[in-house]
Amino acid sequence: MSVGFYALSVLFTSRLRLRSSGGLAGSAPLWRDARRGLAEGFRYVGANPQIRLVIAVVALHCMLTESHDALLPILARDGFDGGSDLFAAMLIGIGSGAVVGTLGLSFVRSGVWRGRLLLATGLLSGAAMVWTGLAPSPLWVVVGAVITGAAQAMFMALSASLIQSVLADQIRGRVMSLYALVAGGTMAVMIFSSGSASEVVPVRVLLWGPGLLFVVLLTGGALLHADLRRVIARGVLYEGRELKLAPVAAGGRLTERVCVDGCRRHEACGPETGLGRPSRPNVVALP
Amino acid sequence: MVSAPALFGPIARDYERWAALLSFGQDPRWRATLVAGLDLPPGAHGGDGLRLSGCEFRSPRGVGIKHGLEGLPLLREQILRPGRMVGVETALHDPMLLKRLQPLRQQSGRESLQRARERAEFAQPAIEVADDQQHPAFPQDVQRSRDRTDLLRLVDPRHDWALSVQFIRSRLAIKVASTFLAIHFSQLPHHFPAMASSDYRALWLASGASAASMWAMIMARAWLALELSDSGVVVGAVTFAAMAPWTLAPLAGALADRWDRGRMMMGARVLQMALALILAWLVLSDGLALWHLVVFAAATGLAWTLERQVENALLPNTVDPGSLLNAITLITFANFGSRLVGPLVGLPLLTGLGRVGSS
Repeated sequence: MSVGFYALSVLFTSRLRLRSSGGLAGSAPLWRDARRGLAEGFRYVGANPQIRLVIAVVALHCMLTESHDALLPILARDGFDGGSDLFAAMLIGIGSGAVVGTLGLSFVRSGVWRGRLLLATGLLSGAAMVWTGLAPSPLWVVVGAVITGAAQAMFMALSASLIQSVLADQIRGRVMSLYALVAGGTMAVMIFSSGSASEVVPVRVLLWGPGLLFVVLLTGGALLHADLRRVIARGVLYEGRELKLAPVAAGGRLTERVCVDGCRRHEACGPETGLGRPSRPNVVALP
Repeated sequence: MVSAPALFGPIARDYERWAALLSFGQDPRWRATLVAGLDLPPGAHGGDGLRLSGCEFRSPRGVGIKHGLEGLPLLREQILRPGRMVGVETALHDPMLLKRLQPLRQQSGRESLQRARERAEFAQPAIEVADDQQHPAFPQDVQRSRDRTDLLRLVDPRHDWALSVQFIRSRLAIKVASTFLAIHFSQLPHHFPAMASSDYRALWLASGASAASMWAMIMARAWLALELSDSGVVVGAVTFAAMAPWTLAPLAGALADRWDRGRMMMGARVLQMALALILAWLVLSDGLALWHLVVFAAATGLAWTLERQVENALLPNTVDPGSLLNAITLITFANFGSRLVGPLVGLPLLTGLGRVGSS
């Protein structure tokens, strides 16, 4: 069956007419080029505080709310004297919630809602963990799993779209792979850690504690962190700033940051003109 | 006025719910188009079953499209009146009925439709079926009708015309299928703007199929590891071998920025297919060893990592920026949906092959 599905995927992939490749020049040996490209990805993320911020929020989210993989079987067994049936029901709940959540999200058109939904689903994701941790009966746990699945899938899709929508084609593969590594890496570490911690800390505490902490941190960030507040309010990153890469022929390296479209963050951008744009774009060469 | 719930009964209500869910609320429009596809004579009125029964069925002539045998008696009793023409489409598959309708199957096309109208005896079985409510076997018929998909048209004999079964089964079936598909795809971009791009559609389908195979593979691998070792630690080790290549994601991302992404994706998927084929051959020839499984898990994980990073990089190129959120959520939906579908399809297969049962 797996072969059949793979054959289908190969068939559909062959129908892709689009030709696309990033801007990484390919003259150097593969390994050296890849290593350099990786460094470029880090520099790109480092040079853009808003991308960095979203990746940090995603890392926190994965760390505090997505470690349930190791905890749910323990909750089913120790919390409710249940067996694999209850655990399977939780997993199906998470999967179904994710399916419904992402399908619902696909009807959202406005980019403005992206930021608000990011906040809402982030808070819901944390709250769902609290719900699951405090659930008095198996039914409540399964309901919590459905909400968890929906909120987490939507949160991850929204954060990925926020970042992808502003990334230059040349460097998208490198930055998104860092995003994937951060998300997957923190989650894996926390799954391992919480699994080990469940030997000494009650599993319910391990579920609702980090969930509540994430709710508090995200609420605090949304209230106090100007950049995060702006991302949530506008549903878009950058707000006029762009990171420029050298042309493909020159290696596609990150060279400068250009402020356009009403940037007010830098003195050099100058006052806004009557058209709401700076009189002259501020170009900052990057080291 | 007949209320819809009373008309359709519990089975049909389930059907309506599923139809609405699976068609994203488009089923009334589809059915209306289906009725329009019948090319009814002047004065005929079309619509879906709900509307016909509840609101719009006021014209002297009407055609209702109705799924579910249980609605027939009620339809006859409360809706069919002399002078009205109602065709009822149902999921019934009755051998006796088929036999009696056999002569009509020889006819085809619209000319035969006219001839079929003159054959009142054609509709007699429909009456028998409709009157079968009191028959002890009725619940079983209803139950069977849920599982059968053959479409027949049952027509009340009191009306002055009938529809040819051949017409329904050949031309209409083709028309319905093509209309469904046409509407389905023409509506997709309206609700899901990302689907307007053919490249995105291909990417979406490929991604869903690939994810389904991956999840089926994960499940099968775990069972095979358990069969071979009877040890949870080994199952964990095999799973770890599959996940470990994820640490190479940044390298895969860098490669995605260097080479043609479409070809890389194709390469990764062909590699996974080849690995699955070899694994299947080893299983069927009883030559599978534990180390094979670990190596296959690592290689598949590597290809999967590459595929995911390339897909992430390629995705925004396939749609316009305004549809990016839609594109990402639909891909995520496909992946999560496949996560449910892959094991759901795979588990019965595994059981059928005796791989689960023997463990």
